[in-house]
Amino acid sequence: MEALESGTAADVLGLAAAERAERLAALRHQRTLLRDLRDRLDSVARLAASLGRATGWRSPAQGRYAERRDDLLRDLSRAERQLDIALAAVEQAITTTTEED
Amino acid sequence: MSGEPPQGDALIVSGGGTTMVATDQILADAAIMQAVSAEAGEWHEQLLRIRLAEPTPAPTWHGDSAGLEVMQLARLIDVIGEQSRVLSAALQRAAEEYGEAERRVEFLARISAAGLASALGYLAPFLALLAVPSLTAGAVAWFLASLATGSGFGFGETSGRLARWIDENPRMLTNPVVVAAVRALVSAGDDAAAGAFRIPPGLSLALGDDAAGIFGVTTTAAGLVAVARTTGALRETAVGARRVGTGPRSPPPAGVADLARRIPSSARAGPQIRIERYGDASRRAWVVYVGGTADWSLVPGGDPWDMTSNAAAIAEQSAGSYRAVVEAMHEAGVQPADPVIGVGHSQGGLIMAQVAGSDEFNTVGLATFGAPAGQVVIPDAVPVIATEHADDLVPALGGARQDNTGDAGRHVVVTREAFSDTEPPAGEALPAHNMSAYRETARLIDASPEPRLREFRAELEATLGAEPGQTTLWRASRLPAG
Repeated sequence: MEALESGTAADVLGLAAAERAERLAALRHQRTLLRDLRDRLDSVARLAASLGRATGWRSPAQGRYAERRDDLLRDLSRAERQLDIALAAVEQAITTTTEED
Repeated sequence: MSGEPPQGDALIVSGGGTTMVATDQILADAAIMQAVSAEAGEWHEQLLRIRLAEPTPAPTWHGDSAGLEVMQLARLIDVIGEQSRVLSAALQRAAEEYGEAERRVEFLARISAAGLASALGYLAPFLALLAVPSLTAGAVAWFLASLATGSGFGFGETSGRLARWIDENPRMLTNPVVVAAVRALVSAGDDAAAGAFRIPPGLSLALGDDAAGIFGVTTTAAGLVAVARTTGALRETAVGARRVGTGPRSPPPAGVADLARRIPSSARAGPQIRIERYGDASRRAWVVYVGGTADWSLVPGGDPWDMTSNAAAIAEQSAGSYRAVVEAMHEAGVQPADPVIGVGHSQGGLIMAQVAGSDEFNTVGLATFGAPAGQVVIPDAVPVIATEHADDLVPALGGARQDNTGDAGRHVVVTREAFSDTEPPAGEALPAHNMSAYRETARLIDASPEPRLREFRAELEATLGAEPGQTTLWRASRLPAG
């Protein structure tokens, strides 16, 4: 009976370790994908930074374009921040999972 | 963030396989927006892969779960993709409409000028002034020659007063409206001739530059040359070119500004042609620079860079300066298959455009500055940057530009008003035509983010490589008859 119990505990422990390893692998893969996306977003944000900025007098149409262009630049910045938060969350999950070992 | 340039620094870009016409910044913005939109689609797919890799099931997500952030990010990227797509489309539409409006205005100006010219030509027997069909272009050319030489117009005190008035009102000739009017009038010279022969205006238009291309600026100029030759003016002669110097090995031109800087000045007695050779014997590439008109007199002297060559070149006859450039290229060792980049100011640009249009050499790129080369037919596949100041009269003397809005077209016209926010200097007949003004525009072209202008610079580097090349300088002269 004792042997059976100890076998079950070992099995459970082994299963948990396997799950953690699998989870860790998934998290690391997710981190790689997120970093790749971050790099691509960065390079587009740099490109978008060269969009023309009007100074002085502008026609109403130019004004509307400038507003929407600024909205786009803001959204790109937000996406970068959001991606940083997602990356930090994945990093934290990796740390927690590693510590559980 | 780059600031939008002040108005005087704005470049208007047209042609190059599109009907769009806009400032280089607008066209660059449209390209960037398109790139952002395309990237956003790919980010979406990447996010899908990230979500599939999520090890935690959604019901267990809490406030700082990566899964939640990724979901929100997906929504934001959708918005970015849609915003950039809409903005790119709006910019392209604006550029299309700008181009359409410009073409309509040019066409209307052309029709109006053609109608007027035709009517005047019809009345030619009663209007001695218009008895010569090519008077329009001829009058403008004569007028410019008189201004350049300071010889007046040959009509005594009246012309002297006119010259003084123009001197005191430099805006008169350095004016985009005047330039557009001259371009329309020059293009309508053939319609005056058609009117004189009782050809209806509609038919003359159908035969002209805008349609069949049977009549046009070329025929007008040919008429002018034929008439002028009866008076001893504009008579072509034999020419000869000889090497007058070898420059130090110089690095390849890095951009349009370098090309502009290396064009020989049109000073008398100096070299008119500069030829640079790059690469080794197995893979040679050449840059040929040709200067502008040096001698503005109507009767040929010793320098083939004169009004005789100008008129012959516009008439698509064998201009002395053209023959001199071809001779210098052969003497320098340019082989028919070697890649050649042609560069020229004013008459030099016209000559190099004609070299590009001929099959004698393998022109793979062309940069002209203030060249009256609008009517020269150059293969669509040859990348061209034609820089023309909107307030420079000289390019207008070449008439309306050949249409290059087809898919394969790679001829880009860059326009800038050289004196939009400053007064033209007094005492200079055509300051917007000066190479110093074009050098400034060339610098702006190099700084421009417009994709086709950047591509031209990249092709320059790809053709010439990075190693220094050998420079030779050439001087051509008209040879005495016999």
